[in-house]
Amino acid sequence: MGDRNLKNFIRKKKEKAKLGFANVLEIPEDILLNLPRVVMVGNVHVYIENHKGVIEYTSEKLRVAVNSGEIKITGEDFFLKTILPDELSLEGKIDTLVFGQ
Amino acid sequence: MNLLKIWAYLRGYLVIDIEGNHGEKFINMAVSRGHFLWEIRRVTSNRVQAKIYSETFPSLRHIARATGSRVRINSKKGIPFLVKKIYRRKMFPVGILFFLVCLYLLSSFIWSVEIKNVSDLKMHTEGQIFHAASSCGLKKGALRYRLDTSDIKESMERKLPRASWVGVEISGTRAILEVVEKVLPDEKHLDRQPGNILAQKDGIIEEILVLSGTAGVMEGDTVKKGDLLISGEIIHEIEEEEDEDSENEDPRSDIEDEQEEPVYFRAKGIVRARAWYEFEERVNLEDKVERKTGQSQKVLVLRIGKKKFIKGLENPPYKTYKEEKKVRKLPGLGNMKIPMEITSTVHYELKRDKIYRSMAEARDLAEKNVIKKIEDKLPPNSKIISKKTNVKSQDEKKVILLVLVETIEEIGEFHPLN
Repeated sequence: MGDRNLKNFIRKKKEKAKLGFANVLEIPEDILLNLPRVVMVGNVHVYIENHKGVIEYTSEKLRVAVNSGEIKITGEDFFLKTILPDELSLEGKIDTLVFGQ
Repeated sequence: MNLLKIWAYLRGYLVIDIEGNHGEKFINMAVSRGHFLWEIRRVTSNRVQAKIYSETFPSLRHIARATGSRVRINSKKGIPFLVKKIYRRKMFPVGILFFLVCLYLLSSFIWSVEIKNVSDLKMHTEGQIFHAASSCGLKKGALRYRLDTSDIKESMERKLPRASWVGVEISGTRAILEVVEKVLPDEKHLDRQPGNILAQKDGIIEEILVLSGTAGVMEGDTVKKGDLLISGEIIHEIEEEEDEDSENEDPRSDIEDEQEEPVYFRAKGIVRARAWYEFEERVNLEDKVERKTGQSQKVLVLRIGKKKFIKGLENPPYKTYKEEKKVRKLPGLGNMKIPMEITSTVHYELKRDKIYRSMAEARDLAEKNVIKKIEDKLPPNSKIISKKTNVKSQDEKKVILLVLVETIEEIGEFHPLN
């Protein structure tokens, strides 16, 4: 377990360094840190780039795995318009969008 | 997005149902393998519906097995499937084609030949025109594309010497012929027989215009039937005067010969006079009139051969009625007649009414009746200038009126001299 903690610690340090680096050079974070890019159009459309797969999908809830954890979207009448290896677009009435670990 | 839908429709796509508890897994796996899925919907808790291109379906079976779900095709959409369907039902497009060909073939024949304004023709009969047309190639059953309207027009004009113009119009499967006849000069004008113009009825001369001849009356003169109005006899007074002016001219001797016996011409001219007509009219003050009550019934009778199909009441339930009948028949094919006709009859209920006329109404009616009587007899360009009505005798039920109508009309009539 100690080994894993150490690994986690190193990864966090690494990411912090990367973030600082990105800030200094003004490089977009999503490219450097492999973060998801989320675009929302009002509460009717969510567009997620750089996702890592669907964890759960029902007509009221969508959980998508991303690099930093998961994105949880709740609402009504969900409808996955398209899904590609690294991007997806969701339509419906969106109530919440939460980032989780 | 619409473009994608159109493209998908052209390529052909499937709507699939994914059944199982791990729909998400299935989607992830399919996506990571590079299959394109769209319009993914959660239908029930263990069923997901999605659309895929038709060629990716076989590889989905492996994914389904790996994720423990079942895949079923819900429906097939797009042009490739439509083409397959049509290919399977070959007789359908053949039928469409057959129908179009039939339509084209049937519309390329002339099915009926008609003549416009047949009743106006005086020198031709319908048969003559049809005969001329058919000898030019325009008849029932002729191929439309072989006919040249201007050619037919010309040769028909040649075949009908009394026609000044022939119009040929082909509209659809119908040919419409129009014949305008030559107006031949009036035979009266050709006639050079000498004669006088005499009055054909009594009257007062209103207007006299002499075209040739000598006027026998003046405006304002009263004439009786048979009086001489314009004489065809010309007395050479003027020429006598001319003779005095030109004494050395040769024709002088001829004229002198003719002077003794007058030359007779054909008198020509217009003599308009005031004329009178007197009629005794009996008008009932109490009269019976039949009037429509506003009630009517329609009967349709379809007759096929000897069979009769009636819709409505054939005999109306009215005591007195008037009927208006319209018969519609199918056009015969060649000499064959189709024994089928539809007769639609409307029966209007009538009611007998007693009406009482006032004196003024009685006068109006009498005048109307008289004018109706004269109108046919009056020569053209006549004018009714006054009407006068006097009561001759009267009782409770009827009145006898004396109607006097004054007209201005042409009274001259040509009478040849012997």
